[in-house]
Amino acid sequence: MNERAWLSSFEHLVLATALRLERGYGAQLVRELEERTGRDVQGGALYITLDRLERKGLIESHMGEPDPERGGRPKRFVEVTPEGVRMLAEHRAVMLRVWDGLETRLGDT
Amino acid sequence: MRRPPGVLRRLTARLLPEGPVRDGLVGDLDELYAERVARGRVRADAWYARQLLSAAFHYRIRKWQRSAGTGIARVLSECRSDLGYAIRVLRHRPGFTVIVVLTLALGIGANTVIFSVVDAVLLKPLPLPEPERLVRLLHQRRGDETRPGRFSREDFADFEASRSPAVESVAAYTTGIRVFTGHGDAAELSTTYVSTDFFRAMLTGAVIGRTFRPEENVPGSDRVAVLSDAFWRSRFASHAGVIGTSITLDGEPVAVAGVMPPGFEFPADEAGVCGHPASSPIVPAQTEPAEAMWMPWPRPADSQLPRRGGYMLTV
Repeated sequence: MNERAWLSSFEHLVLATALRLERGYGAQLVRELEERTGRDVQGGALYITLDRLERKGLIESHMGEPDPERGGRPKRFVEVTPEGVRMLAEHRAVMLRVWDGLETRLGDT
Repeated sequence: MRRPPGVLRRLTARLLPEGPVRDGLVGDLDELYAERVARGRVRADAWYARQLLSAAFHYRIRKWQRSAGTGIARVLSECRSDLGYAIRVLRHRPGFTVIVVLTLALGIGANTVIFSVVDAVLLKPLPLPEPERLVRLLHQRRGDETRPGRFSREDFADFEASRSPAVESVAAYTTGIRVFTGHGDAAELSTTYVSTDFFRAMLTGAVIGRTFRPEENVPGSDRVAVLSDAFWRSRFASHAGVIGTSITLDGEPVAVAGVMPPGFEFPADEAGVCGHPASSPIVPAQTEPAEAMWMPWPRPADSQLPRRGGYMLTV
């Protein structure tokens, strides 16, 4: 795995959440991320990360139809590409190797 | 659906790039705001304001930082590479290096000289009022058209007497050196001898005291001088009391009539002081203001001054 292909922690969270939602859009991603991380997620940070993941070919996004419920604003739907899935699998494998044997050191936290 | 405050919403939309990001993110924030506002308007507004700041940070400040940083880094990197390559080439080819250095030195030197001349002759205005009305007259020597000749004092007197009404005033000058003593170290002083209407032709008067009176432009009454500002400052410490006193030139007393304003230098350059006719006497000097003075140049009744030639200026 080369350095450019490595994911930042937030990219990892966003990519994994997008995979979980399968075809989620921005507000859904924010809700899911906030629920699973317990932290506030800024829409600007999410969108700039989605832009970056799309440039890397790890996700694809497309705009839906204008939504009257959102003042006529369309939703940006996100799907993880096969390359994104491969990257997540690789990332997870690395994380598991890094964490292997350390669980007992974490105590009850 | 409850909408975020209009100002914040418009500002958010303005900060985001046009297209999917703006449409998608503004819509998402509207949707998330509607959920939060049910739990409290103030908290929802504060949340939206934080979202606005985040969007501004990521889509304006961070992008600008990245683009500026990348541009500067690329330019610096290219400069470093080019410089390194140039140094390696020059080190391995000393003969070529010498030729390059000499070429550059001569080229830069020539360009500097040319620009200095163009700047002084064409770009900088003459340091005189209404310079477009000033004309310098020279005459051609018979059989030698390449070098302009001087007028004698007698030629000038004839011209002055018969000048056209179109000419407002006419003046002549010549230059010399007088030895100044009595105030500090003795010094050879550039002295310009001028005819009666010289200062009128220059449209410039003394800043302290006066210039010459017509009666001082006759032999015997011409021991009077007007000092340059630089001379007055360096030798008399800008003391106005020097007006009317005597200074010693070539061992003779000469009365000080006045001081010219700063910047008035005539002839302006070293060549002009030496009386070279091909040079302009009124091109602004490029060096420090010279210590100089002006004295009357009367028509010699009995050759009290050398019968040398001078230059004529008309307005």
